[in-house]
Amino acid sequence: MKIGVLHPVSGALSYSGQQGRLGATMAIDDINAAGGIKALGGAKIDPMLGDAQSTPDGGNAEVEKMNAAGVCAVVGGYASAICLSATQTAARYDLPYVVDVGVVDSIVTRGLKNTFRFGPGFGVIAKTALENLVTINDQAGKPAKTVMIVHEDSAFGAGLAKLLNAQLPDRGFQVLETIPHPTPMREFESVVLKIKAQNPDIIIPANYYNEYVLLARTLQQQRVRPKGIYSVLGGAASSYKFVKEFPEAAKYIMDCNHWFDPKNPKALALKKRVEDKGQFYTYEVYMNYSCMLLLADALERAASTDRAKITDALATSTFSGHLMPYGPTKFVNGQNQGAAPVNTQVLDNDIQVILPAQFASAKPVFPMPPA
Amino acid sequence: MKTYLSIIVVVALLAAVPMVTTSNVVLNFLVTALLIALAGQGWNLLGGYGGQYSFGHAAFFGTAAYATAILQVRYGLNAWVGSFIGMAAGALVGAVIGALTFRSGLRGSYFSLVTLAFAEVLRIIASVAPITGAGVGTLIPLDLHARAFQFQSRTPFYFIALALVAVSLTVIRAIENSRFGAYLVAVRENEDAASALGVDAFSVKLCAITISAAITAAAGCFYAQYFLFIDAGIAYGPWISIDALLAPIVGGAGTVFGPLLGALAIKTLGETTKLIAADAPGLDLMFYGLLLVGIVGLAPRGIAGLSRAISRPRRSSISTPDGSRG
Amino acid sequence: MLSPVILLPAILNGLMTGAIYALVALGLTLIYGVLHIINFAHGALLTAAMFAAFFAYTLLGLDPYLAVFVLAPLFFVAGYALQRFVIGPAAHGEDRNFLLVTLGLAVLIENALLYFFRADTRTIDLPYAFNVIELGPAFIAVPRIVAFVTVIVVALALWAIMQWTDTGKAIRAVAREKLGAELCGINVTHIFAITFGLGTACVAVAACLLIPTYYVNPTAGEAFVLIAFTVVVLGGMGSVAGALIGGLCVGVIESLSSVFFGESLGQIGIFASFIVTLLVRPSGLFGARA
Repeated sequence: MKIGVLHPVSGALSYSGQQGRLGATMAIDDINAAGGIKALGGAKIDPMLGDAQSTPDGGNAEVEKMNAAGVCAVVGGYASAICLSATQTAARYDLPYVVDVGVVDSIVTRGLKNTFRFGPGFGVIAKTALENLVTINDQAGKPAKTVMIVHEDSAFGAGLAKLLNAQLPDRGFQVLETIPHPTPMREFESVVLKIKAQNPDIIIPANYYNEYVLLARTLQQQRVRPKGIYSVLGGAASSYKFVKEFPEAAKYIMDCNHWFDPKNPKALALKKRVEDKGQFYTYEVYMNYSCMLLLADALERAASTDRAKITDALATSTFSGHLMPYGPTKFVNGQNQGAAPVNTQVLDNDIQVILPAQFASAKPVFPMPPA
Repeated sequence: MKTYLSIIVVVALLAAVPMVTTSNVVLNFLVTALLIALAGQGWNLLGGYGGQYSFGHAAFFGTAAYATAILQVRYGLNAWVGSFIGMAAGALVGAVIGALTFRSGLRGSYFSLVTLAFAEVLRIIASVAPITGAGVGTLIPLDLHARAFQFQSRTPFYFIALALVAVSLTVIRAIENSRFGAYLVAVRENEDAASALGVDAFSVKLCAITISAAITAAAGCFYAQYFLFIDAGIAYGPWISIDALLAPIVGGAGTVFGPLLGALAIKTLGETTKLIAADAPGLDLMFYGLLLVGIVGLAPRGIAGLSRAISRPRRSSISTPDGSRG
Repeated sequence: MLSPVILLPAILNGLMTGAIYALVALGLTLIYGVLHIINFAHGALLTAAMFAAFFAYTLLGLDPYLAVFVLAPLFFVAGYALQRFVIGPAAHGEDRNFLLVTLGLAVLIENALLYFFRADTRTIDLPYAFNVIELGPAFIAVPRIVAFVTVIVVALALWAIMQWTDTGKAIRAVAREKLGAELCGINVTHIFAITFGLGTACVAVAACLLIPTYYVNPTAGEAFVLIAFTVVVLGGMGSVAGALIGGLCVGVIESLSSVFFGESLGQIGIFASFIVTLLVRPSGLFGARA
């Protein structure tokens, strides 16, 4: 049976896309090695790989091809703009679609019956990020009062910044300035100059990997040391690659982001396998891995390749065999209710979960100790 | 009637496609190719016939796409009406850019790069202005009804795109045979000589960029309705400026069918290389680039030029002697 | 916001960044001045050079500042060959074909890099990358100062080559009057290729200066091309001095408008000043009449 695996593996988003593809195909290999879909007589999953070329029309064209090739569901998308066009195309054919990342909330709120998002959207991420920020600050005796937000200016960063700006003042934080920036950025000197001049207690970056690395390096270079760097979906803040390559710049950075359940042995086993392949264990990998398992579970219960039956099986899913700290899956209008980000912090050259408490592997270090 | 016969035949052939195949893959492929052909036809009028190479046709495409989307989402306007206003808005942007740049006498590469800069300025504004949804972009809500310019099936979209292309082909053919068209070509070949003969080069170029912008704008409106989501990078990004010039140049700049031929050729090339390269990221586009260079080497006057060269070999083809457009 | 504490560092920073823009633009402007083509493959060549500098460091342990002496000649040869054997023959001397060929090359190079090296962002961590020099309220990173000085030296060297060497004189002759130069016995095809080689060598130098503080992935060079175009036009196409001064100006404009209008909107500063300059002075600041 054919499953569509759609990612932007070329173009601007190709790194994330390739990581996503890695996670999805590893899951398929595991499912097939474990005997395929048993309810369908051990049918093997045959992945149909698609390249969205980092554009919405690329995603759209690939879904058309997948539909024509007779796939029974599609997983992936990664970027919000791609997910929006891909889910819409899939909806024309009632083709079940599991969104891997795509954090813009309109993906699931516009009433497409075929679309399921396993991970959290903006709304939940911003809410969790704020609550956890307050918790961390309160625990430390409220040392931080002012923040500056540095975000990339497309859907993900701008959407997040809007929510944070609306809610931070109610939580007792003063937003000194919000600095949007384009992607790619050639340098962050001007941004850091402004941060330096206003000296906020907390810096909140929300941008992609490359920009995040440049920003963190420039902060280090310009000797800017706020009480905390608290990213929300920070591209590099909870990336093993960043921690390995720039341990000094990464130190004590906190992040509210997608993260695997650190107490789940399956998640840790996968981490080792990915690292043995010489790849980094990024969120794209375990999110896609989980999405594929979720779909396989739905296929088992649907016991059919009929699209309507698979959609029903997804809608009623209570799947808990995934790698994420979400608990049993429960979809309401296509959004997994348990999905939430966690908070991590870079401690001793490793990434630890600091909140929520039931998944935590370390206590937050805040404010940052002086250099 | 005879001058339009070839257009009628080509459009009729394309219109027969849905009768031959019901495959949405094919239809979607053709819709996107027609979209590029339409955007490219706009570029072709100004660049192919007028010799003014724009690198910023995204300015017209994006303005139209945003106008269409914003009028619907924020002001509840009907999508069809919105599309017409979108086209008008694109044409207006064309007129303004044309008036500014041609008035200052910008030519050649300077004109090219200044159009690029205009498109970039618009892209940046769109990425921060609240009315465009800033970075978040604008999503047109689903409403799969003909009155909302949205369709459950691909077929109506295909016929609309084809109709738009048919209109653009007719317009370009009409211009080609008109006095205005002759002036435009005269300006391309030698602006100073044309002016000396009494051609008002400024008005001719201004008129050309306005019509050119309107045609590319139509593609923008169509894009908005087909994909229902736009953001600054999609609307004003360099991709559309490049596609809009790539198609006519590959097909044959300054010929009526150049953009259509070119759009079909580059889309086919893209799909073929995808098939050859299978799932290796980058390999397909690598072949694509390689073939593009090869095609230019083999057919320096575009596909249309190649077919002409075959049917009428060794017709003395004097290119513009003035290689520099500076 | 107007305090010198922020203004001085902003201007200095603009000059440092502008130097890199100037260097990338130098390559473009040379090629434009002589071949009258806009080289769309410039960004992809920059990316390729950055990969080369990256691998020179990670595989051979060659410091980027030493790698310059290997990579610049190497890329000169590559650029020469590219123009002589690929771009020139394929373009048949027509503007629009140069456009297509360089576009095609850009796609080819970028995706070849993607195919062979994957999309991973690569960085190198040099021991001195975080060293800074304090100039009043400004902290300037050492690699950026090195870059600034190098660019000035390269620009002077290029200028000297153009003024005093036979090749330089031939290049200028071809730039001014192709047919006349040809009649004087200058091998125009060879000069075209030499110029393209020089332009590509500039890009290799820029790559070595960038890699200590920047990153490389298959699309990294793109970020510098658009800005280099504006520099080339502002400075007047074909003018070495124009590219240098134009680059520094654009760097400062960008830095200041980022400080005052924010990063996203600040980019408008560059393009708006570009448009206005051209509308008022259609041949750029230092260019001869178009």
